[in-house]
Amino acid sequence: MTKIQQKIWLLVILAVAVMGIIWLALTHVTEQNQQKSNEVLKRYMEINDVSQQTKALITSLNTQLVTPSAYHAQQTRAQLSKVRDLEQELETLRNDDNGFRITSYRHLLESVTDTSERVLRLVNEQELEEATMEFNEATRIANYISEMTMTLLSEEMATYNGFYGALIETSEQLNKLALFVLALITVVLLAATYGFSYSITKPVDELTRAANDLAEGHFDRPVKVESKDELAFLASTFEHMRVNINEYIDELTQKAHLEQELQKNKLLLKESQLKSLQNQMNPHFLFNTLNTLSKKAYLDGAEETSDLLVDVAGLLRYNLKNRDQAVPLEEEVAVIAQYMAIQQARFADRLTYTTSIDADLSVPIPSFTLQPLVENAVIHGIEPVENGGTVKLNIKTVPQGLQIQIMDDGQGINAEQLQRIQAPQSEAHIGFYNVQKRLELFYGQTNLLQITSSEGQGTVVTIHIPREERADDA
Amino acid sequence: MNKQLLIIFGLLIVFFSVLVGRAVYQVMDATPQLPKIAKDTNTLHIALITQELDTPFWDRVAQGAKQEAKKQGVAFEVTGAYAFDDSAFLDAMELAIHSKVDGILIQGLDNPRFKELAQVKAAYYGIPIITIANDVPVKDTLRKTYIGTDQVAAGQALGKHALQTLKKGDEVVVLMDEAKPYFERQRLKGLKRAFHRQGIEVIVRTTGHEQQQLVDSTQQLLNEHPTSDAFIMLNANYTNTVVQEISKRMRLSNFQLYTFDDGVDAEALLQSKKINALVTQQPEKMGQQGVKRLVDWLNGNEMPLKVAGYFTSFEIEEVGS
Repeated sequence: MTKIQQKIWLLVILAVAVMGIIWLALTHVTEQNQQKSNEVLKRYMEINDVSQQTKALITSLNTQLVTPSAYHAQQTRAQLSKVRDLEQELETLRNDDNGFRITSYRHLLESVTDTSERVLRLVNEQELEEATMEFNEATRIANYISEMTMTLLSEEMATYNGFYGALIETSEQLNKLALFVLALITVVLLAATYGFSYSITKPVDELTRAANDLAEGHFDRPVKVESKDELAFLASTFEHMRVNINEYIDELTQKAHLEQELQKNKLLLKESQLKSLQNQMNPHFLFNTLNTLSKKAYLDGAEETSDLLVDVAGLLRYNLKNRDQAVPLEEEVAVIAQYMAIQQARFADRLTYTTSIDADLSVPIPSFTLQPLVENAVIHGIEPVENGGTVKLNIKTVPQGLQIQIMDDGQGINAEQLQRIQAPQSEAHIGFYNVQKRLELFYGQTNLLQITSSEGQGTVVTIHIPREERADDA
Repeated sequence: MNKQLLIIFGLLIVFFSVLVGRAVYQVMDATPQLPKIAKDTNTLHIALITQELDTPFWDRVAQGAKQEAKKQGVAFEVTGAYAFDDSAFLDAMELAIHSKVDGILIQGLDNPRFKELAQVKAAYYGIPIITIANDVPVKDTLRKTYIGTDQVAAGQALGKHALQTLKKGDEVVVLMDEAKPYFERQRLKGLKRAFHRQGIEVIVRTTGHEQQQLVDSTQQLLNEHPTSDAFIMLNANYTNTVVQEISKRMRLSNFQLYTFDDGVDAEALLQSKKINALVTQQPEKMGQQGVKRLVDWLNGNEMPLKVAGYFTSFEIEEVGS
């Protein structure tokens, strides 16, 4: 059975039981009083019966006296024994008040039966004169009996006067009691009903409010219900649902946020691609042309030019191939080498490129991670300096993974510019930011790219490649 | 939950609980109890039968008897008739006899049916009869004994008292019932004994006890003996009427008035100085003695009873004494 059902049953059983008990009690009292008053009535009737039977005895005796017969004698004897029985029964009527009277009454009956018997005997013996005398005596005694019956009855009335008064009072008091009990039950039931309905409606109200909150989108307000029945279960289930939804929504929000970032980055990438496409008319044609040029230069004995063209071609191929996928670090390093070879051809002695690699280069990284940074170092760091400088690429294993450093000893970046680079406001200067975002997206971590610079001293860009992250994807 | 509502509910519940509790108590309290059925204890039943129920004198007799009956632990009842209704009185007596009471204390009535009842019926059932206050001759009734004032002595004492104021040659009217009951005859006997050879003329007149008869008798007496010096009412119940009739015609102080205390107004008349003296008896003592002797006799403690009777004392009460 459920708790609420239990409550309802309990309330109903309580009401029924209370009413039942009261009904039983009232019935009991009434019945008792009824019994008592019946008892009194029975006394009256018994007393009255004595008088009646005595009269019947006298009548019967008279018949026997006037017209003696065996039948009438028989009848009279039967009546006699009836009166004798009554006389015995009279003893049950005795109480403290009427002891004297009852004794007298019994003796009178004795007298009348004795006399009657004498009459019968005398009639039997044909002594009619004496029989008549005795009969007169019996009649007189019978009269005394009926007189005493009246006296006894009136005395009984007096004795039971108090009883009847009490009976009437009891019934009045019972009425009053019934009224009060009714009032009490009403109040108790009202109170119980109030408490009961409250115990149901309050959690329902709370649930309703919680549901409203949820409907209005307030998923952060806890559902609190103080109850121990099904509603509590409902509430806790509801609360559980709320928490789940809340978590789900949080997750969704986060994902949406991420998605947005991703979208943004894709746009950035697209932009850079567009930019590079704008820069290159037909890359494949150019690639092929560059290869042809390289062969021609080689055949012409310009080996240096030929090598340069091979580097340019390699750079171009890499560019075409690996736009938005992860590549092993060594490929990226190789591309940087080619790029630097081209730049060195351009800057001649002004640009020095050194590498210091002490790590496993099979680690995958997003393509074009290093190239924009090296390009920045060359173009913004070394190029403005008249004497040129050195660009260093250091890769080493650190406890967290790999540390890639791109250092130049160029003119450096001032603080204001540094700010702008890290959080670009416009389309310009997005190279650094682009790399940073792509790294974050790729590894799912932030702070992977750091830049330190001081004016005139050069710039150091540090990339942290986390260990084992995305290892499976590689 | 609404705190106010809770408090109201609580108060109402307490209030009605108290009312219900009180009502339950009242119902319990009011529940009628039947008198308990008693056992026949086989105690002696004694009846006191008088012709003058509810008169001061007999109430006092009954009171004395009742007290003694209670002391002795016997059942006791007063029955009889009101105002000398002989028939009702004798019916009561017969009823008592047929009811087989163990003993009867009775105001003696000088009447044939009384004698028959006492002599035949009571004797048939073996019920002892003791006369009280007013005696009847023992030979007619077979009464066991008499308890009360020695009426002869009382009459004599009253006569002697009257002599204190009477002189030789004075006329004394004695009023007695026309039935000449035994106790009045006794009193007269005493009176006559007192007035014997005192040179007092005693005129004895009988009267019926009906009011009109009494008035007539008194008027006749006053007509016939206007110069008489004293009136002695042997039956105390006549006193009031006689006093009224005399005072209608002449000054009460013309006469000396004497009577006994077993009448309705005797004491009051003495207090208001309308009569000169009366014989006061001891009714309580009579009742008490009657019950005591009867019970003693029934229990076999005192046997036989003195046939002459047991006399209780009396005294003469004068105006102002």
